[in-house]
Amino acid sequence: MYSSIIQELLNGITLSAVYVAIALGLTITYGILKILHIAHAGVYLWGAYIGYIAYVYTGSVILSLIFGALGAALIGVAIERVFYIPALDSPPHITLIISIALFTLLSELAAKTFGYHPKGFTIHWPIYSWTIGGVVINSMQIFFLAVVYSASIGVWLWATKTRMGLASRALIQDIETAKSMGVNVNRLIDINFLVGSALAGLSGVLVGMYYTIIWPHMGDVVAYKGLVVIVLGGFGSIIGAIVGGLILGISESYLIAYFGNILPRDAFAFLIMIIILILRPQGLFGRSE
Amino acid sequence: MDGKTKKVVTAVIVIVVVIAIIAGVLAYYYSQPSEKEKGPIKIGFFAPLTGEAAADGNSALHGAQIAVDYINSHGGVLGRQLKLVYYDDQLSADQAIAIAHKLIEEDQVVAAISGSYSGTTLAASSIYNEEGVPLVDAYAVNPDITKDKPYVFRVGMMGVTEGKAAGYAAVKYFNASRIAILYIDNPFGVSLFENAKAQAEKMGASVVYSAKFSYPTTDFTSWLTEAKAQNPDLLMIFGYYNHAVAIKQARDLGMNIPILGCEGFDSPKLMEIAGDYANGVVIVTDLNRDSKKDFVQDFLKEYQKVAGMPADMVAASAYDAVLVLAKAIEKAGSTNPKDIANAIRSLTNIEGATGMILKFTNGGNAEKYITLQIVKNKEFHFYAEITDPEIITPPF
Repeated sequence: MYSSIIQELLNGITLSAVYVAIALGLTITYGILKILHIAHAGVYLWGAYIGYIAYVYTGSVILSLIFGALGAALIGVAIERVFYIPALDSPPHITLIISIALFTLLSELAAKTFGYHPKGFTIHWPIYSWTIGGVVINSMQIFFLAVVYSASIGVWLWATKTRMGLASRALIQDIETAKSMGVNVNRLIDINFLVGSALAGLSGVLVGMYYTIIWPHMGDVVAYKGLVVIVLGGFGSIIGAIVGGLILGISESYLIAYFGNILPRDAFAFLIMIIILILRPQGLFGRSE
Repeated sequence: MDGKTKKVVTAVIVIVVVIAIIAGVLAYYYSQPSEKEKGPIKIGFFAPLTGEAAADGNSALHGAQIAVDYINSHGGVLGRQLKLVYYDDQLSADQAIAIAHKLIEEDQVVAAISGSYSGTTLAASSIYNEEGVPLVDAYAVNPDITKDKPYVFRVGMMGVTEGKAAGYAAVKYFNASRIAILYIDNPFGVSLFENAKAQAEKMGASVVYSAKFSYPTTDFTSWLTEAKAQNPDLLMIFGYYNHAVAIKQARDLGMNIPILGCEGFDSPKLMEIAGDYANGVVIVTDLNRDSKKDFVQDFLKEYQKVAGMPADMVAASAYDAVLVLAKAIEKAGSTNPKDIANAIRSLTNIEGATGMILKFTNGGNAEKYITLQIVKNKEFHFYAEITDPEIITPPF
């Protein structure tokens, strides 16, 4: 009984990994352009497919991750330059509609290109597993968690500790002032999309490998769970994205384990969001305005 | 001839010519049916050929087409060739209904086949029944599709039968006494779960854990962790091959107990997704790939050639739907839809790609043996056959 409580915690941390990674990307892109980047989930899905193709051709897990991240980064920046920057002066609902349309387009494009059938993404690495006090953990899970969480922590440190990251945070306050102070605004916007999208692509490939499957609609769940997380954590808050992702994954794991037959899994995600919004409308780490 | 006579003669000639033309047209028109008798026999077909369910829809179409080609190359039916007239229903009930009207009224098919899912097949089934054109459902499981519809038949298994078979197999072949069940939260999964549970309990086993999951689930570990805590001696997973990762997650958690799946797992994609973890998994299905029958082997080979991957249950069921119609037309000695429907009801012991169909019940459902297949070296092989009438007889 005790061991299954710990096991569920581990399951939750595993589930959280992708929520954290996606929410971080959403947060830094939302923070800088104030655009709700739903198409981020499309970038994630394309990262997974690009990584899969790279794995099929090279047989290398590392190259697959690199190609997935790079491919996603390029798609993310392309979306920003081609669609978001020209629409920056439009009201927010216009950019939101553009973003939703782009997400649908990316999903359908993947289906047309790679087929509607899901693809099995099994890698050749042997899997070792260990049982510690009744809790089971395996090598693939450790690899998955290590890469997603260290990449996420890397992005967090970049955003909060480096000059460029801090300059981006400054940009969030006021684009016009930053421009007048000689900051290269477009370059900063590019870099934020590059970093956020690379993280999404990397997690797409890792999710594919860990769950051994990718399919054209794998971005759907991520799209709305990512939104739940940033609402939970507070829009634009980096630490909020990390804590929000962990809260969602871990509580989801426990709730479906103990109350799974009462409500479907995804209903819990929104229930948690509604409760937090009632208690703290600005989110856990958002500033009230 | 004076002018008056001339006019009368002209009028007579005109009338004769007009009558001759009308007679000619009518003669031509009435000669059409006999012309039609010699042309191909048209069989309608609908399935989702684009969109999310396109994989299954195309698989069913390939299966049906292979059957038509096989029959045509072996002399056809009543000395005539078969022709499949097919449309894409896009998994939309509205489309399926529009297609039903088109097939019956414009294409004038003598019978039709559904290679589609329950929602679309159910919507279209009433049209075929009302118009008196036989419809054969290949693999959609909803009981209402055939219920109270004398013109609608089903070659696939019903959810009730499949569930009962799973419960029966768990106790009979694996001596299970503590069963854990994960099932998909849709009518297919719920029907399998309820009937597997009832059958297993009837035979003295108990269900110690059960949980339902939604279609896009990839992480089953929370449920599996709770299931494991109950020390089950058999795990049932009722979902589709998309959920094959549940097998891996169960093994990763150290659940080294037999795993029993269903028809939804019956695809080579199961092995692509679960990899070596699929080995040892047993599924309840009706496609026996180790069959010694020539036409089954021919079908498996042809399918591989056409689709570029091994055949699945969906394709085999569509193949059998064509086979049943061909046998019925042959037996009726006519292409009259009513005669075909009556002939289907009188067919017995039809050997199909999905095994032996003993007969069709009054409710139009095929009574057939059920196959258990086991995965060995990432391929499906024969494991056992369930012939117990109590299990295999459809509920109506």
